[in-house]
Order: sequence, then structure tokens, then C-alpha cells
Amino acid sequence: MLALLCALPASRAADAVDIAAVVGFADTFQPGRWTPLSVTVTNRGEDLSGELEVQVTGGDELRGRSFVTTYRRRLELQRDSRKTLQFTVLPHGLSRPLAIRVRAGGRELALTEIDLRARFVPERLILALSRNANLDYLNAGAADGLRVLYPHPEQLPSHWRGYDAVAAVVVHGVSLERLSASQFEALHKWIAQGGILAVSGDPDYALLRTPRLDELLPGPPLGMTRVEAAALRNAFSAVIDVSRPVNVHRLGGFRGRARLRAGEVPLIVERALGLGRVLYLTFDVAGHPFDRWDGMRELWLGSLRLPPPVNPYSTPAEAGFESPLPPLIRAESANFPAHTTVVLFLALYLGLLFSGYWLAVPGRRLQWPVSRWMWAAPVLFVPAAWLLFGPLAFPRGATAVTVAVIEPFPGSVYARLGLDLGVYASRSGALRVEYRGAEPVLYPPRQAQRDGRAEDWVFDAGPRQFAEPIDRRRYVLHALEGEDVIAFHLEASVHDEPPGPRIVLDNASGRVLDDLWLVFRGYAYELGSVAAGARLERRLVRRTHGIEVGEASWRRVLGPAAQLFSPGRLALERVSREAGENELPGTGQALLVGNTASPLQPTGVSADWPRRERALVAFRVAAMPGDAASAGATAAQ
Amino acid sequence: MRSNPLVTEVLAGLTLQGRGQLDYLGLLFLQSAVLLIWWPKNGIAQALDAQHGPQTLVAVVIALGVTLAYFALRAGAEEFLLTGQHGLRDWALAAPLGLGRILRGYLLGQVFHSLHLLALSAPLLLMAFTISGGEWAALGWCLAAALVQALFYRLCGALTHLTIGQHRIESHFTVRTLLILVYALVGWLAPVTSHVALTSRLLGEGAAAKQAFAAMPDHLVFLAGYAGLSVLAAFALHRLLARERRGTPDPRHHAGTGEAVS
Repeated sequence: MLALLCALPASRAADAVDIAAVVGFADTFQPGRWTPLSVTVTNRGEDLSGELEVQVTGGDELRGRSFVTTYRRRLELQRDSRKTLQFTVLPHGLSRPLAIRVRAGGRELALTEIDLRARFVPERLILALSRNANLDYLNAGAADGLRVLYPHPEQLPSHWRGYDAVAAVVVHGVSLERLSASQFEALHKWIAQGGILAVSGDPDYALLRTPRLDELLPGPPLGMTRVEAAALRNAFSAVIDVSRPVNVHRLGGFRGRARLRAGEVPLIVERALGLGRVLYLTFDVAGHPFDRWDGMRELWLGSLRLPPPVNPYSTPAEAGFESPLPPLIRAESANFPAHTTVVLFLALYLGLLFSGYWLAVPGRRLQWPVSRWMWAAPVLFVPAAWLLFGPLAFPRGATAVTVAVIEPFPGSVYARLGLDLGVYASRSGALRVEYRGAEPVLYPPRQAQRDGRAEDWVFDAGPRQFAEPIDRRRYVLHALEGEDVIAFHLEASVHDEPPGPRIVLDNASGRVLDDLWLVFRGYAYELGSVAAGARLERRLVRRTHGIEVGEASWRRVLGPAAQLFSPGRLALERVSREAGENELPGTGQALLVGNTASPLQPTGVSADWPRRERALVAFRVAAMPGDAASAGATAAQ
Repeated sequence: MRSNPLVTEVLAGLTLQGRGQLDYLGLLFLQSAVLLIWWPKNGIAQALDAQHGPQTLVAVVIALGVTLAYFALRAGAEEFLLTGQHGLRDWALAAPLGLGRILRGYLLGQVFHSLHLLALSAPLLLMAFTISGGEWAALGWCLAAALVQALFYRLCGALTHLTIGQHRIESHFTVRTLLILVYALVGWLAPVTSHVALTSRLLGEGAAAKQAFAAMPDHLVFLAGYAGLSVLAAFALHRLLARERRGTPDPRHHAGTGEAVS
């Protein structure tokens, strides 16, 4: 009876907490892609202070051990209240449900398992943020593999990676001011790394003049203008059923180019934003005559120009990647004290003990002090051993290793951050690496996943970011890969002139660029350091400044040829192969390669850990034709 | 404590040259060899590749446990004595002291002796500890276990000496057989009694996966077990000494002999 009475409050607390979750967009997601997960916790009991935990099981059990990734967030919930928290998770498969728990005071208050099998679609997603537009015609045609969803703007991800399964976002008659700051930043970053945003005109053109859309659009609408039916038929197709003029947005100047015009009126304007694009359709895609026009599907597909779908489970380019972490550890980590030191120390210690013993013959004059030596020797040699072999020579505890590759997007303030993060310790125990400076999505290395060696990890999905491996063994390198889009503004232009390239570089990244090299057309040019905020303008002459690198290309600038497996080289090799290109920088392109400070900085409990870091900037710039006059002047000089 | 003549004798003997010290210096040499052999031959990167750290500390602590036990067994069997030290039988038969006091002094003297030997090994332990990544608490438990185990072996040695000590060859072989039997065979059959197994559990890589508290019972069982066995051995020793004493006139009535000893 007493036990029942004791258990009663606990069961009451458990019953008082409810969990509801929405996976992906409108409870629809694509397996193998990062997806947002909204979890709403309702507390009908006492005030709650605990943790919300989402467990995702990944890995192929046929090929090896599955692994569990746990995302945690702190949860403070007063009585009779609810809170919605968003996570960005990667559901690898469908066989295991997502487990969502609320824990407090070491007890599990609520558990919900989300069956993923009922919520997935294999197609890429098109998100239509609209009150009334119907784009379902894009669903037809299995070959394109598209599924249109209509999420509320509030359901958009707060991390750019949450758009992983999204092919394009269409905005129609909705203001982006409704998004939270993190949601808008996520959308902006997603576009910068290659996403496609299409904004449709709407009678309420003022919506498109709001600050956020104004930041993204090629240009703001100045008002409405009338386009005659004949002009529309010319622009679209003769079969479009249009009998009266149509009102479209009137644009002034704009960034980008008009892809479709009706006479002088731009109908579709496209702007590049980093690696992505923003399309501005100045007409109302849901209004007359486009709502009933059969050609809309082709118009959309032709305008969006979606890249071919990639199977998230088959990425042959990644196979056989070597992690850049071990070479960095090999190059920079303190090693065990050498055998020679050990032998010398032991010889001295044992030698003194033995000599003390032989001198301690009773009756000798030296006997008394020498006999004390048998006590004094260990007392002296213990601190000596600690000094020689202890923290000074071989630091005990944890070490963080980071190799980062930063790839600035052209024409954007953002850059892609590819990350290899490793932690290891010479002592067993919990290894929680707290970090700041970036908000990457982290996951076990893809090679380890393929080999069935992926580890279980716990991540904090809240503001206090940390990663912690479940395995607490010492001398095990716990590795993660990660990716993010970070603010890193670099503007560069390379002009291809006969004597050599002319480069103009504005470093607005806020970080110093060290050992910067320009690789262009088989030659490498050393540019040195570029301070934060500095502008570099150099006219380089191939014969005097250039080093012929030929086939080795950028590899030569990352160290001697013998350094086949330097961390930077391995990291950049992966970038090159992931991009599906045989060689960087590629025809007609220049590559800027340099070092900078790592954007990911350990903080909190891991702030004092020894760190091994390497951050490489790799900026691909499309070469422009040179200025003939200046080239001639240089040649004359 | 210092008024106990057996303790004073040990403390004095530890500062003088003697066979026992030479023997332990030899064993220290052996520990050094173990340290050198188990010192990591490759770098950190290789250790991380293999996912195995150096086992140097485990090897040195195991070596320490064996050498302390071996040394204590031989000291108990009085194969050697510290300079100026008298045998246990001499104390029992010739000193005008109660057997309880003699035994207390004998055990305390053994603890001091073991602590001195531990101090001599301390630099080696520290060298191994810095690179091997064990925990201080775990190391402390392992050393405490080695000390308690050495006490038990000391008493076993004393029992051997009191029963067959007059026959040197038999005693020599009995002592070594006892060590092999208890250390290897019993330790293998009942790992909870094995200092090797305990050290591997507490300081080896397997300890990492377990929480610290999960290993608690192991070392407590070991310590309690050897402490219990030591108490039993001490009782047996007391009985043997009492029997020896009964077989001779009361030493308190022979002050001359007692003075000679004390």
C-alpha cells in the first residue's frame, strides 16, 4: 500500500504530460533527408523542469550495427501550458519509430513513438506558402518526382538543413514577416547554398515590398501594370486562354535578368543568390488565366529548372573517403614520451637506489645520510616523474580536433561550412564538447555509417550546443561530420588577362586569411595574408609570380608533394569529389585557397581542452575576360 | 604504535642495508622492465586508429601486485629479514610481550614495509599513470588491494615458516607453490580473488564502458575477502604462536632472553 502511495505522484506526473509531434512539412517527409520535427508538449500537472529528448535510430542493420542519435533540449513548462520545440533530424529509415521523451528528475514523464511508415513520401517536395494557390498539377508525372505541400509559414524549419528534401519554395500572397528570425535566416541560407525560391505576384503587391522579401527579390514591385492579351499570348503560348488584359507587378530596376517578358514588361525575373536562385513571377499564378492554363506545369518546371533528383542513400562519390582528422592528430598532437626518456629516467632512478644501497654498509661514515636516500629517492623522483611524463609533456584529458572547409558562395554573404569534428581523451569518462560559432548539423561519418561502425551520440538541439558520444572509452577517436551555412562574406573577381590573372578581393569575412593562394589555369600564385576588412588588388604575371602546378593543381599549394594526406588536402579532395567534379577549380574558374581561424570554437566545459584545428577557405570564382587596355599596358611595362 | 618494538624494528631496518632491500630492488628492476616493455611503441594517432590506449598502468600495477605478494610471502617465511629484525618465533618465545601485541606489531610492521616498497615503486606507477588514462580512485583501490593482498601473503608466509620453516628446501618450494596456486590457479577459477583481474577491470579499457559505481562491488569484495582471509590467517598464526609458547617456559619468567630480543 505504501509503495502504491509513493508511486501515485509519479504516475500522475507522467499522465499530466502529453507529447504531439509533426514530422516534416504537414507530417510528410522524405526518408534519408534532414527534416524538421515539431514537438508540442502539454503540461497539465505541476511546473515542469526537465528535458525533451528525440531519439532517431539509423544505420543498416543488415550491414552492421545500427546507431542511435539523441537530440535533447531543455524544457521548462509551467502548469497548464504548452510549448512547441523544433528539431532538425535525419530519419535514415522507416523501420524504427522516432522516440520522443520528456524526462525530469531522472524519471521519464512521457514517451511517444512516431511511426514513420505512415508519413513518408519518396518524392522531392515543393512547399507552397499560399492562402489559395493550387499547384497540385505539379504532382502529376512520376518522372519528375515532385510532391506539393502547403505548410503554414510557422511550420518552416528554423535550420536551413530542414529544407533538405525541398526542391523549391513557392510564395504566393504570404508575407515572410510572419517567419521568426531563425526561420527567415534558415530560408535565406538554404537559398544561398542552392535552394530555389519562387515568388508569385499577387494583387496585394505591398506584401512583396516588405523588408524580408525585398532582401531576397530581384527588385521590389513599384505598382501594377496592364499587359494586353496579345502580348501575353506572345510571351506564353498561343493556346493560353486569355481574352482580356492581365494586371502584373510593375518592376523598376532589378538585380538579375528577365527570363520572360511581355513586350517591355518583365514576367519572370531571376536573381542568383549564392548558389541558389530567386524567381519573381510578376503575374498571379493562381489568378486568371493561369489558374486554368494547362501549360502552367511546363512553365513552372521550365522556370524552376530543378536539378536532377539525387538518391540520398547512394552517393558513390563519397566512398573511400579518408577522414582528415587522423593526419591532423598525427601532425600536431603531443605524443607519448619517448622510450629514450623512459630508459634514462629509470636508469637514473634505479642507479641511485642501487648505489645508495651499496653505500649503506653499516659502519661507514656515509651510512646515515645514504640510508635515508632509500626514502628520499622516491620522494624526489615522484615529482620528477610527474614533471617529465605528466601534464607538461603529455596532457591528460580530452582533446578536440576540427578540420573545416569554408566555401564562400559567390554573390552572397554566406559560405558553406564542411566540418570534421573529433574528440578523444586519454582518460575514460564523459566527453561533452560544447561549441559556438556555428550551428552545424552533425552526424556520424558517412564512411563509418557504411561500414556499420557509427557511434551513438547525444546532441543538444537548443542554444547550449554540445555533442557527446555515448562511448566513454579512452583513446577512441569519436568523429562526426557536419555541415552548416555560416556568415562569411568574401567578394572576389579574377580577370583573365594575357600576362596573367588580375585579382580583386574584398575580405569582409571578419577573419584573417593566411597563406592565400590563387590557382588558375595550371599556375599557382602566392597572395600571402589578407587582413579582415582588407581589399587586395593584384595584377599577377604568370612568368614571374606563377608557379606551374599542372596536374597537381591546388594540391601543390597545400604542402609538399610528399604530404599526400595532409588534413587540408583530404578535406578539399572530398569537396572536389562531392561536387562531382574531376578537378578543382574547373574550366574557366579560379580557386582561392587559404587558411583561416576555425569558425567552430569549443566553449563551456570544453573551452580549456587542447585543440587541433585547421580551417581552409576554398573560394571558386568564375574568371572574367580581362581588360585589354590594362593588359596591353602591363605587357608594355 | 611506535612503542611496539616490532614496528620500531621494521622502521629502523628499512633505513639499513639488508638482503630484503636488495631483493626488492631486484623486483623494482623487474617492474621497470615491465614498464619499458608495455610503454607505447607508437604514437597517439596509432592508438586512436586501433582504439586501444596503452596498457602500461595495468601491466605495472599487476607487476607490483605480484612482486609485493611474492616479497611478502618470502618475508613471512623469513627467507630474509631486515637488518636488525628478529623472527616472529623469536618474538613469541623470547619477548615478554602478549601475543596480541606481537601480532599487531607484526601486521603494522608489514604495512609499513609494504608502504615503503610502494613508495619505491611510486615513480614507475606515476609514469605509467600519466599516459594510461586511469582514474586516481581506481589506482588507489588497486594499490590498496595489493597492500591487503600482501598482508595476507605475509601471514601465509609466516604460517609456512611456523609449520615447516625448519626445513629450508620444503619451505622454499611451499612458498612458491602457494604463490602460484593462490595467485594463478585460484585467481583464474575465482576472478573475484584475483588482483590481476581486479586491476584489469578497474584500470583496463573495459572499465570505460562501465560506470564507476558498477565496479565498486568488485574491489570491495576483493578487499573484504582478503581482509577476512588475513584475519583467519592471523588467528591461525596466533594459535600456532600460542602452541609454540606453551611448548616452552613462559618468556616473562626469563627476562634475560626477552631483554636480548627487545
